[in-house]
Amino acid sequence: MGVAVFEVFGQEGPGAAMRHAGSLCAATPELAILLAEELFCRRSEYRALWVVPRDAISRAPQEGDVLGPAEPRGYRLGAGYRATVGKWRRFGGEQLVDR
Amino acid sequence: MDLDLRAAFEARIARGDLIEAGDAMPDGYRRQCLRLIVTHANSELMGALPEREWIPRAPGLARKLAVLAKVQDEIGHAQMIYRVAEDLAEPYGITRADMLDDLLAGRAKFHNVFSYPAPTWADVGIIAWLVDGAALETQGALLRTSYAPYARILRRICAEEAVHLKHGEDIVLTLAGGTPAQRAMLQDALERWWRPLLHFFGPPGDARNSDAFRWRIRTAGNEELRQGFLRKYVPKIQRLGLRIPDPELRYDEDLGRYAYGDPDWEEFWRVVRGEGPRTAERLALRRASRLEQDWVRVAIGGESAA
Repeated sequence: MGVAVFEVFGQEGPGAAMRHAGSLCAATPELAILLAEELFCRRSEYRALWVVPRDAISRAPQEGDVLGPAEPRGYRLGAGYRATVGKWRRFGGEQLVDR
Repeated sequence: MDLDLRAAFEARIARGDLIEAGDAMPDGYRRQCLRLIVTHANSELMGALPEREWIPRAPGLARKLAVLAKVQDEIGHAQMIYRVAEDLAEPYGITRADMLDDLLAGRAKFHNVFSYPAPTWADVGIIAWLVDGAALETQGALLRTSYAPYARILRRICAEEAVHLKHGEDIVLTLAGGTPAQRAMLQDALERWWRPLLHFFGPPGDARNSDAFRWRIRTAGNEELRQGFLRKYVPKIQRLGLRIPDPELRYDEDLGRYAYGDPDWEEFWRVVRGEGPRTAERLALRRASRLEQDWVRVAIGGESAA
C-alpha cells in the first residue's frame, strides 16, 4: 500500500465556494479525510471538505501557454462600455448612470 | 537550466510574480527554498518537545487543554510544511522519511531555541509569548516570500501562532500579577531565555546581496527582524516590572534602534553545530518516538522508519 498526495478544499461558510486549504499524504481516501480534519479543521474553519487525489486533477495551461484570449476583448467586460456615460450625457441623464 | 530560462525566472521575480511548485526554477532557488522550509518543518517538530514535557504538569485543566492544543498545532504545522518541502524535493528523489533521517542523525538543522531546557511553568509562558512572538516576526516577513506554496500555508500557521502568543501572554500576565514566588519564577525564566531570544534571528550582517534576497525567498534581514521584536516586546516586559538581563540594552533615539550587549555569538554557533544544552537529549527522544510509533505509520500505509 503506497502513500499518495491529496489536495484538500474547504467551504468556509454557507454558500461559500470550495477553497484550497492545502495538501497531505495518505494511503486511502478515508485516511486522507481523517488527516484533513486533524490538519485543517481544529478550529471549525470549514463546514465541508473535498479531499481529491492530486493525480485526478487535470491542469491548464500546459507549459508555455497562457489561459484566456490573447487579444483584449472589451466587449465581454462591463469596462468595455464606458462610452455609455458620454452617451447618456447627450440626454442630460448622467445621474441615471448605474455606478 | 539554461541562461534564457534563468533570465526569464529572474524577470518574473523582479516584477513581483510568485513561483508555484511545478514552475521552472533555477536549481539554486529550489535548494535554498528547500533548506529554509525543511529547517522550519524540523523546528515545528522539535519545538513541540519542550512544551510536551509540560502537558502532564500544567496547572489546571484549562492550561492543560491549551498546551495540548499548542503542541498539536506545532505538529500539524510540521506536517503541512514537510508536505510543501516534499514537492520541492521531488526532482532530487528526497522523501519526507529522508528529511526525518537527516534531522535525527544531526545532519539537518532545527532552530537553536529548541535546544534549551524549560524547567518551570514560567518557561512555558515565556516560550509561548516571546519565542512564538519572535517566530511571528520571522514568519510574518516570510508571508511575502516568492515561493507561493510556502506563503499560503504560512498564512494559516501565523494565525495559529498568534493564538499561541495570546496563550503565553496570559500565562505571563497571570504570573506577573501573582505571588512574590511566581514573580521570581517569571524573572528567572526571562533571564534564561533572553540570550536565546537575541540569538533567535541570527547574527547581524548585510545579506541583501545574497541570492535569498535577490530571489525574494527572504524579505527581511536578521537585524531588522530582531529590532522589530525588541520594539514590540521590550516596553511590554518593562511594564510588567521585569528586569531584562542586559545592562547595555537601551533605545537609541538618534538611530531609532535598540542597542544591546554582545549576546555571545560563539554560543549561538555552538548550538547551531548541535552542541546546545538539550540538543542530543531531544533528538534522542524524537528518535525513540519515531520507532515507538512505527507500527502506526505502517498500519496507515506509510513507510516504515525501522
